[in-house]
Amino acid sequence: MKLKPTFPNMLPGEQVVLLLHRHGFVALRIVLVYCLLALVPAAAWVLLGTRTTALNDATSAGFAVITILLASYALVWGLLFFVSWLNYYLDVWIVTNERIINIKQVRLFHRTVSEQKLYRVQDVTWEMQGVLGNMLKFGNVTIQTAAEQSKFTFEHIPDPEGVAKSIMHLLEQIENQLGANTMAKLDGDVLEGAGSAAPPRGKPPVAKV
Amino acid sequence: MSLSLGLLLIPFAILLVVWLIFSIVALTKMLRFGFVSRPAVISSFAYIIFAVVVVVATVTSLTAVDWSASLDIGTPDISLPDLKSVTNTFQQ
Repeated sequence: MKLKPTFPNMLPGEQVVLLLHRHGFVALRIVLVYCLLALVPAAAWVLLGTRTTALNDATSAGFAVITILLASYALVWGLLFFVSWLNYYLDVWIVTNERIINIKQVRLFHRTVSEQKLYRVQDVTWEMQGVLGNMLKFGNVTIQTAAEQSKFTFEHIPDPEGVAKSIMHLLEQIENQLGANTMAKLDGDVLEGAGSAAPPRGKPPVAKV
Repeated sequence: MSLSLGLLLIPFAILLVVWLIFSIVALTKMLRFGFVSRPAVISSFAYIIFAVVVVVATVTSLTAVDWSASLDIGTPDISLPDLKSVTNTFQQ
């Protein structure tokens, strides 16, 4: 049984269309860096074991010092690895049939969440940069909206072209439901209220998924 | 200068407390904001298991250590020549 993705504060009737994390290559890079860092104490242990007698006597002061240093390194390494994974994994972009939510875990104690109604989207741009980006098909999708925070960027996400198409498809659905005239009116409302926090009048449209 | 080996445990204990606080914060964030998804739960369990293994292995390794022994710092064991006898040799 496949579970439907959900998130806190979902609106009634809201459905998750896309739940995006950064590409797995970004996670792999983090893993590789921490694997290299794990080799440092392993190499130190081997060197100390072969070139000194410090590790031979488990009751000696040298053994105690080395054990405490290695344990401290291991604990800090583990914590930093977990926090790096957390920063990767909690960077999420959610596209629902009503809105776009941008969740950014900057550091352990710094998290920002911003959201935008889907009908406010004006322009969707996608890009794939570099050899690896083109080979592994990951890149950025930039969404221009008529709001205070005018730009949303989905960074290093897999298949940016497909994501951009999905968002455009959702917008087309909203447009078809409401008709071009209503959309133009909504656009006008949005542009007028862009500098203020006041939402546009009328019930916001919902794309059927 | 010599100091008790047991004093080494004080900075280690401070590091353990700070590490524990940050670990609890990180785990709470992961489980609270990770949408209780499979990767979030698996990575949290993996971290807890890793931490328990490191702490248990450290405690086990350190049980045999004689903590009452003293640790010499900054006093290299070098035997210098007896200057009086050298001076006497030159005077003769």
